[in-house]
Amino acid sequence: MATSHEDGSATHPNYYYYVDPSLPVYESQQPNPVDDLITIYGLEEVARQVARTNADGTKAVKLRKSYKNQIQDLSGRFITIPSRENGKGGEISDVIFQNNPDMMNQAKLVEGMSEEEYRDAMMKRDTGLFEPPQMDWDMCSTVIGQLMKSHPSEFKNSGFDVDDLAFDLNGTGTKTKKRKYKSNGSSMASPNTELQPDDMKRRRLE
Amino acid sequence: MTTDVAPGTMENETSKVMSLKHKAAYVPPPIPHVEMNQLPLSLLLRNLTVFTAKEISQFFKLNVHTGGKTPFEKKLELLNMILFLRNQFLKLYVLVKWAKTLKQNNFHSLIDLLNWFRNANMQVNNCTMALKQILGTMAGAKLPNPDLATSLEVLMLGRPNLPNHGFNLNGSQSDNLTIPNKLILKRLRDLNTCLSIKISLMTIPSQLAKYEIKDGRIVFTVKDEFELQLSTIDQNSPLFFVNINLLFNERLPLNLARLEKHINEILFKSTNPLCLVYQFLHKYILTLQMYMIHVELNALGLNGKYSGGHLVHNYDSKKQIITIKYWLQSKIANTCKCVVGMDKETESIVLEWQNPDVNKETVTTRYHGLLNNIESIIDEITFNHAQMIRADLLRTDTFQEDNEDTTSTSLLFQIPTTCATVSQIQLKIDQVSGIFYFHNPSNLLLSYARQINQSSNTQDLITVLGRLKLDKVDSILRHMLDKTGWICSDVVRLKSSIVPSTDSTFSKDIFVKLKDWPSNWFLVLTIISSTNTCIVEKRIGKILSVKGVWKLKYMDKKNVITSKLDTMTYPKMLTLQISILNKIVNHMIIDSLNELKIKNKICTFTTEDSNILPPYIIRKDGKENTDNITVIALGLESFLEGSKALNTILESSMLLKIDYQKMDIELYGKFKTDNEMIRCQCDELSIKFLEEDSLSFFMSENFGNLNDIMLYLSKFRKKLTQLIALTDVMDTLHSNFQSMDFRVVELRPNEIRFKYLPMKDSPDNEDCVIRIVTNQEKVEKLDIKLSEHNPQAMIQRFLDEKEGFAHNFIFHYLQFTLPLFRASKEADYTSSSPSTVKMHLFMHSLQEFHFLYRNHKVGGELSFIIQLRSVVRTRHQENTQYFVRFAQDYSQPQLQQQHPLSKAIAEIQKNAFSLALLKEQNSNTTSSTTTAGTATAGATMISTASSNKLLDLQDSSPTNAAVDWSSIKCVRLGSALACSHDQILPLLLQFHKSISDC
Repeated sequence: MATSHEDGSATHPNYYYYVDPSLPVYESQQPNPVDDLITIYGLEEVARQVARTNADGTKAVKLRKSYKNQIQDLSGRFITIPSRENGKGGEISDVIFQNNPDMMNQAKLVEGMSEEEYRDAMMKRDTGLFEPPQMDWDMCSTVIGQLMKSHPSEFKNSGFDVDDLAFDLNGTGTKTKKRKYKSNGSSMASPNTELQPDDMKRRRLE
Repeated sequence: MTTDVAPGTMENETSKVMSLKHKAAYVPPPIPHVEMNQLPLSLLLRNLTVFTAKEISQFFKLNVHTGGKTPFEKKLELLNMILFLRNQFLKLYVLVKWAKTLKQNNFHSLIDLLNWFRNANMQVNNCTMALKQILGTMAGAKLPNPDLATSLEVLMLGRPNLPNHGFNLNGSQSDNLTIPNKLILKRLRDLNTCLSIKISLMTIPSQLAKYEIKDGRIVFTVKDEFELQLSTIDQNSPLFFVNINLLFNERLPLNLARLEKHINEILFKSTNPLCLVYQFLHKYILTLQMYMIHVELNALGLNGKYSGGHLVHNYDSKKQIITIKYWLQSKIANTCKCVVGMDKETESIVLEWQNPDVNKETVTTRYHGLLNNIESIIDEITFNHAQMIRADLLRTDTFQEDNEDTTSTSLLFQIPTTCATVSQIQLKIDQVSGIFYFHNPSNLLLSYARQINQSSNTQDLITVLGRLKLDKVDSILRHMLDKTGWICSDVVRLKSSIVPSTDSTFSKDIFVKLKDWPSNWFLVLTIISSTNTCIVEKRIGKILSVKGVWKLKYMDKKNVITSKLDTMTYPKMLTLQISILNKIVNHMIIDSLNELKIKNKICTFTTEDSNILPPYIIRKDGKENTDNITVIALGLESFLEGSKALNTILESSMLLKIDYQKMDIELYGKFKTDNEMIRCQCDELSIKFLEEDSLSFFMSENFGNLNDIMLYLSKFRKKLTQLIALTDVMDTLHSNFQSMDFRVVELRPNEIRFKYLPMKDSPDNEDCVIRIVTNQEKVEKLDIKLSEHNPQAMIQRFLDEKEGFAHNFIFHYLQFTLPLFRASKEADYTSSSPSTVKMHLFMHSLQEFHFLYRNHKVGGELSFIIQLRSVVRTRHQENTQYFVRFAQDYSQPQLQQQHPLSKAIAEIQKNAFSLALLKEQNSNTTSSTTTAGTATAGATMISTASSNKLLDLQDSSPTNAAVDWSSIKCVRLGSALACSHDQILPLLLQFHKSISDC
């Protein structure tokens, strides 16, 4: 349409309508919301995977809420996955979403500092936290020494569940499985990958 | 398609291709990444790490000194902290993995895109809001005939996007090719030929047989369905869809694009394309028509004739069935259902009226050609249905056909307006709703119309109408009764009607009375109404409210007056008021009698019964109007409450006669036998004896109030009881005192005064008074009082001492002992000169007396013991006799001689007691005393039953008292004697004589 307009402006006298042709003409928005933006940005595949309904209108497999499969490759033996629902997850957002520079060690780019020096300073800005006087390791060992030896049965009825530590005390754990996932070589892998077509799709995507 | 459009399409297509090419080169502008509220992952990791390091160092600093905590508590604290921190790291670990996956899959772009869309949406919304605001502020600004679409084009393009039809506006030569008309025409002709050949090679279904080839296309016309235009391009190509017109409704919007696609597919793929196309279109059209019928029904049911919920339908688009229900409120029409569906045979839409009752031979139940015609079809069905119901009702004979009604939709029903007249009422069925209604209804009719519509079958309806008629008759009668002065009781309600309603008849009771009627008594009008007739039955009944429930206590079952409704008139109602009163009272009396358990029977004056009634009642009635007289026979025994003994005195039945005109109540009775009572009139009893029949008597009372009639009955009963008691006593008296001296001085209901002594002996008005003490039912006792100067007055003491003597005994005793008491007086009469001998009677008991003679001259006294003893004569007969002896034993001669009255003793001993005289006396026995009985146990019986002697004794006078020993009849027992009561007086006088002679 833009082209025809250009023709028009050339052929018609300016006084033809109460519109000033010299003014900037209307241009449609870019990207145009009328277009299929998913296709334009090449997002068809990912959109298909996360769609709530399948192409045939049936309900698609729900997205996972638990991250059980995501931590299977860790060495721990997680019997219960800590979550908000079972009260063992704890609140993380107020810890990680604080953005207060005053509370943090800052590396400053001092004049005359080379880029390498600055990067080094950036990397080492937090090391102080793990060294005296911030962290007195001797004191730590003293305190740990005071705690004496423990036995799992000790914590019965004290509101603490030893299993939550996820220590693989007897060594069985989920090692056989773990190896299996590792052989897949994918961090996205889930234990029943082969069985669920939904997960199959995801894996193939990568 | 026309030729002049073709260049336009070509131009469009080229522009499309151009834009596509343009797009391929086009690199989409980057979508702005979402940054708001987002932190880099590295910062999150660092935050958590710093936090963890600080937490741990804090813990150790706090727990380096033991403080108050036990090692276990510290351990627990440490473990919990570590657990918490570890879990947070777990989450971050998962987060890192997710972030990696998202990055790999370009998922963040999706999020960015979504965010961008949101922003865009927000902007559009803002624009709309701004526009709205502008609109508000520009309320006064107006544009004549605004062409907004063109305006927008001008705004956007600087000029309107008008079709130029290939002309150049500025007049310069166009580059566009124009096709010569000749070429077009040739092409069309070629196409026509081509199509003709092609169609002749194809199999054409019979429905598509009608076609026409023109303008380069084939036009198939199927009547009432569609007009299909097909064409092709050359001999080898299949047919293509060009256009379709619906012949039944041209205005219907069609999705031509889809139809084109579908038909082209069939034409292209199928080996027998036309057949399939027809089938497809036929089905398509049927479905369309079905839908249109649904729309039509919707309009009809919601806004049309049948609006208001009288017609509903259910359109099943899957099964292609429409179920129609009409007359939803009608109950009597049980199935009001039609079904619209496909007829498999004709493959057309058909409507079937599904009513099992309909006669399919005479009435159409299947309808075709529904489209645009559904209203008239439903009209026809409802009309037919109404006719069916009407025919059903006519068959019951309750209704008449309305001859004036040309549409024959109404029924006539007869309802009485007065007793004699009947009016026709039109009952109609509303064809829209199926509900019955009356033509020109009254309030009563309206309320019944509601009930009629509630009835679910013909029988119910007839029943309701029957009730309507009954109600109407009821109100008519009540009105008449009100006007004639009757009082209709609205309160009285019986649990069940007197005449129970049946299937075909209905009954209702009206309870009426007059002002002065006895309470609880009603005239019960029972209306019995059937479809064609109406009868009114009149009864008399007594209705009482017992514990709030009305109960029928008495009902005259025999005399039911039955009359037809049309014979009821005002004059009759008035006459009834007069004539009914007797009956009410009669029934009331009978009811009361029944309540008292007195046997009763109403006597009628009919000729066959007249012989039962005694003549004295008949005679009176000969002159009087028997209408006002009632005679009721009463059982005496039950009337007097079971005193059977009285039956011997009176006849067992009595007659109660009530004369309503004179207000008289009379009770007639009759004695069985003639007795003394009849001759002694007792005025106070006011019992009158009839002249014609001496044994019959009657009592009479004048009644003022009908309610008190029973009072008179009890009065009568009291009198009757007294009468009977009196009669009984009188009879006894007469039988005991069989002397001339006996005379009743005064007779009162409870008192008899009489004389029985000889005139010279009784100075009083009466010698004895008998008071009859009665209680409610019977005679309790007789009080016998002897008068003051009665010589026998001393007996009173002994009578009073011991109660319970039979009055018969007392009377007999009085009569028997009378000579003893008379002896002293008699002695005075016999001796002319003043007597020297005084006689004194002492009474020891009722059986023993002491008689003392004292001679003043000689100065001696002599006493006798007189005893009353009963002597057994034969086995069944007893006789009481006097035994007389000396009080002292004078048998020793010396004792006798010492006594101053020795001479008298000797004489008495010799003449009265001595057995030595017996022989001599026997030989001297006169012929008159021949009946000397055989001597038993040395005692000789001497008969004294000589009437002459009795008369002599009674007539004994002082002048002819020439009595001597020989005349005295007695049995001598040596020292004592026995004699009968008529001999005792002469004997005692003889003793007196002997003693005074000394």
